[in-house]
Formats: sequence, structure tokens, C-alpha cells
Amino acid sequence: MIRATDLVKVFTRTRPVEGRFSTVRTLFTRQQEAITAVDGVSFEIAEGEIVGYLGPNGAGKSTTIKMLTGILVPTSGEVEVAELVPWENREVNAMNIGVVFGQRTQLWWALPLEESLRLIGRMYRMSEADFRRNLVMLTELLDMGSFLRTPVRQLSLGQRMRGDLAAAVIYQPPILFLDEPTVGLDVVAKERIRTFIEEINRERNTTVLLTTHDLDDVERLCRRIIIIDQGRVLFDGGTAELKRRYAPTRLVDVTVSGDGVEALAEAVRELPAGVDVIAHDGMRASLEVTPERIAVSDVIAGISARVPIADISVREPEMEGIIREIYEAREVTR
Amino acid sequence: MNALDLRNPGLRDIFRMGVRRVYAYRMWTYLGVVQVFFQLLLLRAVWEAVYGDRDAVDGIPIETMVTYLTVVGLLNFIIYPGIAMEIGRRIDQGQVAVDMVRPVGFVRQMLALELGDSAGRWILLVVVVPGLMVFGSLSPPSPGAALLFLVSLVLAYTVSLLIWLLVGLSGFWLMHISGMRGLIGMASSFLAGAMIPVWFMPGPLRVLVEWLPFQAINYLPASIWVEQATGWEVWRALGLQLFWAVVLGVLATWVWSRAQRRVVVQGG
Repeated sequence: MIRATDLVKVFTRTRPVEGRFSTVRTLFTRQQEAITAVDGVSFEIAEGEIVGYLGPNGAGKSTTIKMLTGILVPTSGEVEVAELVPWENREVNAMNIGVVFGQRTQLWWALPLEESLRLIGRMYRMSEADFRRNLVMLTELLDMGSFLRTPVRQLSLGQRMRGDLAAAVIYQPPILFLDEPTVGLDVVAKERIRTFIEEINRERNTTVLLTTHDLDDVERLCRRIIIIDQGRVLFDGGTAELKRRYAPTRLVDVTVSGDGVEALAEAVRELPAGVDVIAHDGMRASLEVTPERIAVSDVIAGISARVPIADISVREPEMEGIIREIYEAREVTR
Repeated sequence: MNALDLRNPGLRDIFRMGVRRVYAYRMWTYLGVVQVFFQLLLLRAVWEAVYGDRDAVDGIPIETMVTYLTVVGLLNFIIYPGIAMEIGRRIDQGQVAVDMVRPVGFVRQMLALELGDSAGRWILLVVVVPGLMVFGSLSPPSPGAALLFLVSLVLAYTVSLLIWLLVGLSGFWLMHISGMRGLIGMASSFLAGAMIPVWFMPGPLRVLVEWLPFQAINYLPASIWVEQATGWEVWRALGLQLFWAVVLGVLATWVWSRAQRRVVVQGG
């Protein structure tokens, strides 16, 4: 459905001059500098997938999306979206894709939401019957009934974002690009948008590429993620694989009953290979287990044989921590 | 030219939105009317002072002069350079990103909106025309001249629209069009002959004006109305306007095809 091959985008800008009278000299300089926003990105996305496209600020996520949607022309490399080169066929490509830019709206400020959606329906040459049916469906799914007649400039951010989502899907495009669709929203509004994306994907088999900084979006929606930084792909694979590769350990938290403090201290001193202590404080200890070296169940069995356990739990490392580690590791190699 | 294909039903909606927008920002519109009257009164006062006791200067009677200034006022109400501002704002705020993922081209959306804005303003002609007759003079031309003036008006509108479209598109290179807008704004009022008719301009300046497209916006149509241009001069004026409309149309098409490869979206 979507294919990017060795995609590169270089922006040039006038290099600011430093030193005395720098502002005035910048006005007359002819020195340009090139900034490589996307540096050889390749991936393929199949029909019906929901893919999370992640990376720190300035990693090149939005630039990639803008090349996939036909707004920007790549410096080199190839893009194909539904078998079209987006920037060469902007108007035809537009019929295949729905786009939400969380940071700006595609609705018309002066028009009530319903009129804005109607205008979009007409632009995409929908029949009146199709438009009506989809409007009714979306109004219910996104709970827009109460603000359908409100001018867009008066909508709250959460309402506006729902309106923008409706605008992106009302003409039933097979592909959806969502650039930070939950940015700045409260928990309830985020949840509603996630449920909606899930539903559209399930009902219409819509292919979704999603950029976000909210990893709850990713955990909830994406089975596959692509992480980029400095314009290059760092990781492309399933979320389970990400955890396996970057966070192979499990955390075991043990709490003992009152008379087990000493037994716990002793047990912590004599841990088997593949288990490390992260924290130990009287009645509580946190152990890091590497499952490749020792089974988590063996560790639990070993501990419970030695100490009176009040509570024990096993945690998977959270996505947030993993991603942070990947970004930070990248910083170091810079 | 693809950009002129306004058949997409969404474009008709954008046009209608343009019409309505004129009245959503009512004060802005009314101030535009006041500006037309104000400029006419100022220019009239200056020119009457210049004429002093004389009835005519260089064979131009004061009455013709006042009518000329009034017609220019009318032209400048009908022809309004909104499109450059609209495009400039969209580039500056990065809104072009949204405009470019639509199934109708960016330039066509902008043209539809601009035509809607214009049509909305033209409704106010019912106030502007009587007002101009009070503050100036619109002594009607002969039926023949009136007809030719209408043709000239359409061409003037086209030339102006294309000039301001080009100014707007320059934003794809400059990012901020305000400097360009100021420069062209000055040129298009002075070099168009809005303040001083070209017939009073000194030789070298006159040559410059003759070689630039701006006279097509004010001077050429207004001189047809006041019948300073007669006979073959009228046809020459219309021919010049047509020439500039075609040249600028070709230029705009070319510039747009280059601009599309230069799109930079501001603000992420």
C-alpha cells in the first residue's frame, strides 16, 4: 500500500552569520547550508496495517509524512502510495488518502463544522446519499452531535480534532496519515480518538500510518512500529520484538511478611546467575531477571522456598522506558 | 489551463464561502469603502489646487480630471488584491500543507476564494457608485465607450489578479511576502496612474510606465471611460491589456510549476 525506498529530503537555508553585525551580514550572505531531514528511509506498509512512526522531535517524522502525502518533493529516493507517486499525482493521490495534521486544521475557520464537512464531501465528489450516511455514522462514532452547527473557530481542541478526523475519513480513503492526532488532548478525548482509529481500521481495513509522542497510542493501536532519528530508521518491527530486542529483562518485585526481613537479605546476597538486584529495602526487593539465562518461574520458585512471601509480581519493562533508552543510546553515538 | 477549471463542486463552495466571508468581516469591508472615498477626496483636493484658476491643463479640462480620478476609485474598489495576502498567510502559517492534500489544486482553490471575495464586495457597488457620484463625478461616457470600458475592466481585473497571484507565489521563495507586497502595491498605484494620469507624466517615467503591466489596471480603462483614448488608441489599449494578461498568465503557470517543487511547510 505504501512504499518508501531510500527516501531523502534535504532542505537548504541561508546560514546565519556569526560575530559582529551578524544580523546585517546575514541579510547579505549567500552562504547556504543543507539540512538533511530524512536520510535514506525505506519501509513498506501492507494494506490494513496500523503502523506507529516514532522518533524524537526533529527526527524527520513529519517530513516523511509530507513526502508520502505529496506535499513535499523528495530530494532523492522513491515513494509509492497506492501505486501512485504522490507528488506527481497530487490531486489523484488526494482521493486515496486522508490526512490529519494534529498541529493545524483542514476545516474552514469561518464555517460551521457540518458545512466544512459538506464542502469536503463535495470536493471529493461524494454523492449526497453517501455523504449523509457517513455524516450520521461519524457524528455518532465521534460524538459530534452537540457541536455540528458550531463555527470551527469556536470549537475546543478536542472537538476540533474529532472534526478533523471526520474530515479525513468521510470520503472513505483506503489510507490514513495521522500526524500527532492526539497532541494536546485530555485522557478522555485521546481514548475516544484511539477507539475511533481502531474501529475505522477494523471496519474498512484502512491502512494507518500514525506519528505520535504518546506511547499509549502506540501500545493501544500499533502492532508494528518504525522508529527514526536524525532521518534514519533505527528500528522497524513488531512491538513484541522491540521489547525482546531492547528490553530482554523482566522485573520481579518481592515483598515479604514481617518476619522475613533477614531471610530476604540473605536470599538477595545469594542470587543465582542471571538475576540482579535493582533495589532492596527491608521487606521489599526488586530483581532484574534475564529470561535467556534463567526462567522467571525458577527464580520465583527459588525465592518462595527461602522467604515467607507476602506479595510477588512480574513486570515487563514499559515501552516508554525502552524508547527513551533507544533515543538516549543514539544521543551517545552522535 | 488546468488552473481555470472551476468545475469541481467543492470549488463552488469555496467561492460561496468567499462571498460570505466579505460580510463575516464586515468592518474590514466597510473600511475598504471608506478608503475609496477618502482617497478620491484627497486626490481631488490636490488636483483642484494644481489646476487653480485654469479650466484645462495640457488640453485636459478639470472635469475630465475629476472623472478620471473617480473612475480610478471605482476600479480600485472592483479590483482588490486579496489573493496575495491569502497565499502569503497560508505559506507563513504552513497552511499550504493542508491545501495541497486536497483533490483540487492549490491555485484553483485560491482563485475560487478570491473570485468569491470579489463577488461579495461587488454587492456593495450599490453604495459605492452613488457615493463616488457625490464625492467625484461619473459623467457617463458614450454607449460605445461604455461597452469598451467593460471589456477593458475585465482585462484590468485579470491583469491585477495575475500580478497579485505572482506576488503571493513569490512567498514560496521569500517565505514572507510583505516586502514584495509593499513594493508592488506602490508600483501598482503610482505606475498604474492612480494618482497621476500617464498623460501628465514626464517623458522617461512615461516610457517606464508604457513598458510595465501596471497601466493596464487603472490608466488604460480609465482613459477609455473619459474618452482620452479614442479610435485606434482604444484598440491599442485593449490589445496591451490582453498582451499582459496572456504574458502574466503564462508566467504564473510557469512560476507555480516551479513553486510546487519548492514547498517548505513552516512550523512542523
